[in-house]
Amino acid sequence: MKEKMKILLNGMFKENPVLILALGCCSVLAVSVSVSGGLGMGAALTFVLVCSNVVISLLRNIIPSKVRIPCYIVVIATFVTLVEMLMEAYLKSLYDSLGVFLSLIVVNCIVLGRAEMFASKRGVADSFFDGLGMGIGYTMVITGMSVIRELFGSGTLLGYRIIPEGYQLGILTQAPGGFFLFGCAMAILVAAMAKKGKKFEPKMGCDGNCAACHSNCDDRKEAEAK
Amino acid sequence: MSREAFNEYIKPFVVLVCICLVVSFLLAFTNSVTAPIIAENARLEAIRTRQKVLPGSLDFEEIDCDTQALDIDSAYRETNGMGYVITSSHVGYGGGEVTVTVGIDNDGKVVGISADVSSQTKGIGSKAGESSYLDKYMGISGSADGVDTIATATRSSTAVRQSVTAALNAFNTIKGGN
Repeated sequence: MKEKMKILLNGMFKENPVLILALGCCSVLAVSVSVSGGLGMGAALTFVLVCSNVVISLLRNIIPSKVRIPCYIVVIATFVTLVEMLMEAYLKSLYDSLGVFLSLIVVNCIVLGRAEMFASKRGVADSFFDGLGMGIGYTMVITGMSVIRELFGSGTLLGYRIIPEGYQLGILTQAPGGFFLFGCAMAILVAAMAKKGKKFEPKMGCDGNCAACHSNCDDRKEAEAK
Repeated sequence: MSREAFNEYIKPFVVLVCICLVVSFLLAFTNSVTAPIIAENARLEAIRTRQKVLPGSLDFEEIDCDTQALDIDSAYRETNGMGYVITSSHVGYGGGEVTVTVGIDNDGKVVGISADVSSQTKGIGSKAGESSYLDKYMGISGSADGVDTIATATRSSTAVRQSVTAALNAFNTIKGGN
């Protein structure tokens, strides 16, 4: 159980998908304008992530490595389409506010990244907790950012007016404000971890298998120099 | 065929096809459950929009007309004879459609208007769907030429004006035909 807890917390802090691994930033920047949108997006992504992780983990010994990416995409796209259909039927206003970013979960690098890096190698229970942890990590970031952006950018919270009209920082609702806040959030998490005495090493979810990887990281350069 | 060749060429194909088949059934089932609900929601939403643009109206009947020639999506008559509600769509900025629903009373005056500008740029083109702009169409009749477009949202507001023009023209044709 301790092991599972570690996997869960890993996704929330140490390997937070958005702030540490820098995955899925596109939807975070775009949808974090309103709190309801941020929460809805977080819930949708967490559902897709948990379901696809579990299914891919179950099928990990059946799927031939040659066609693994198409298989992952089909599984992920299925759950995204399920969420889309259910949301359009039962939560129409949320569906409208998420717009195209809901369908774009299919190509969200967090989901595909966890399928490739984690679920395809680990057991079902571990994959479940990894998906849940990563999903919660994503939801925490997007909700946190949307609270600040909606409160100070539009003066409202979940649609209710908190700050009177005319005292907003309009830039927060625009793209530059999103980037600015995103950078600050990244810096705060890294600083907090540095303070706790943990050496900051972004691992990019790496398993040391350089042959199957296209990134040009420092570890790889070192290994190739040898 | 050797086992190696099977694993290399046949197995990937079979596995992918099987996954796709299972998935298709799953999605088809979900779709059969949600599609009627989605259609019902869209129908209720359309009724709400019609009631909003024709204040005091309750029920509508669709008018059978050549929507393509009239350049509109649909035309409805209020069952108690209060007026007409005509919906028309035109392409705005970036290929996205702007759908405008106009309520017209029996004298041909615009008494209500609602525009769906969700396909347009938020904060820029979406201004064409705000009441501060749409209110300029209230009370006009015959032609929408007197209403200006918005300088920074020309294409989105032009799409709104085209739709209102089409609705007013369609009203004249329908009314003239009665």
